[in-house]
Amino acid sequence: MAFLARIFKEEASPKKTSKILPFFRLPMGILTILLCAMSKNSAFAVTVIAAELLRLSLRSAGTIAGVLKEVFIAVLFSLLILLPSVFMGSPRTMLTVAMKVFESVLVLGILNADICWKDMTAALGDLHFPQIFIFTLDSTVRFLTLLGRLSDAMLEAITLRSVGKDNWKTKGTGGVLGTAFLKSESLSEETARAMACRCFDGRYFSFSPRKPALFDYLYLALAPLLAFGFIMTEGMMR
Amino acid sequence: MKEALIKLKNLTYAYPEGRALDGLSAEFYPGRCYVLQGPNGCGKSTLFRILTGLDFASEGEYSFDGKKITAGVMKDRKFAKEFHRRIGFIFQNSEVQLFTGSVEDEIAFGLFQLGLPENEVRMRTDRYIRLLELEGVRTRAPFRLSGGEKKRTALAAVLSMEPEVLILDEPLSGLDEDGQEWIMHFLENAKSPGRLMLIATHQKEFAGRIADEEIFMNKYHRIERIEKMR
Repeated sequence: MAFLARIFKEEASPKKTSKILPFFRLPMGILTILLCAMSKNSAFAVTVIAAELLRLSLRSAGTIAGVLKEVFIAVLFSLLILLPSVFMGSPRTMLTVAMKVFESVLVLGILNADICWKDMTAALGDLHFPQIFIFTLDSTVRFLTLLGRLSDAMLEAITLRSVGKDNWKTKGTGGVLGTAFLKSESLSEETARAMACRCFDGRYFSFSPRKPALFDYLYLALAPLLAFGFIMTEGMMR
Repeated sequence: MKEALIKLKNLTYAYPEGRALDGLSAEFYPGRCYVLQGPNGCGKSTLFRILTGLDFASEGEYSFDGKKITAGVMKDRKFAKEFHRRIGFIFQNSEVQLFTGSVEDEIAFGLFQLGLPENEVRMRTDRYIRLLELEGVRTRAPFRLSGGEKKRTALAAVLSMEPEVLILDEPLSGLDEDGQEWIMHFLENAKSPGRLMLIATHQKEFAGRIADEEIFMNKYHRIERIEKMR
């Protein structure tokens, strides 16, 4: 819930205004992650990590700390999962996967730090993702946040009643889940009604932040460079 | 006098556990503002759901602009769309009514469903953002707004579709004093000769300020009396 809450936190904040349009940032991010995942050597991943860290270093201290915290948690988790591979005789696997996780989470973390959720879904629309897919994505996150808030409030109420030896908190969990389920049903019904009232016929649209400018296209020109770097590093290792 | 836009004849609605509306008959005219008052559970919200074509009467008739509104009629998607365009409904809980990623998308949502060109959508969105004083929150997610901002966003989203009938279920509930005053003042100014307004409220002061006619419902789910104010 904390993660979802963070997605929506301070969306209107000026900190979250990427100079490059999300329409260009998003595919570049995906391309970077894909190329890194496909690379069979560490040279490409290390180069990308260095470039991304350089980009991150231009952000505020708070942003750097936030992104790196997420990256280290993800890397630590993957190291723990892959620890048995060291004892099975392939320690390189653990390091390679950890490096790729580091790179992927770093790219996503910077994207998340620069672009608000609304602009992200607008970019998906501009990239011709199906409108119903974007709508489902938006609605899912919205419902999770709303139900999370509700569950939070219910748990708080239970905590306040947890007096003495009787452990209401444990007993009440089932009740909270049940109530959240019932609430989700009524919420979705009401939302469907509200959508019908607004003539919903499957179209879903999100305003794009602005029209593409010259520096957006210059940024896009990095894509062939990235692909070239990938081919070169892969070729060098053969 | 103009022809009644909404006509109810012996309208009854029953849930499995009992009646929610019992033999309601009334006529509503364009340019008039009707305020519904009555105890909780007397059927005001049920009546609004029927008027907006979300539920259908168990017995009796509801006709809108001369056409009987039934489940069968509402299956015609073209008719249903036009019907919903003509009737705007503000839910009591604005949270369920707001479902997009930002305030501006919320306002534009209905306009896109109507098939309006993008520049027209942008123009109307900007106009209603200004009108409802939402400039400061236009890119924020609606469910992160305050109660008053949510209500104003819902109003902007519905009004931007320029409906002939505006139905508001408890528009002042959950708002602080300033928020209530803002909404009351806005709705007073939203009255126009071509628009029919139906409002459910428990606030007598608000009813007195805005109503052309007050409709009192009783706990037996019937209309007790109608008082003409203006």
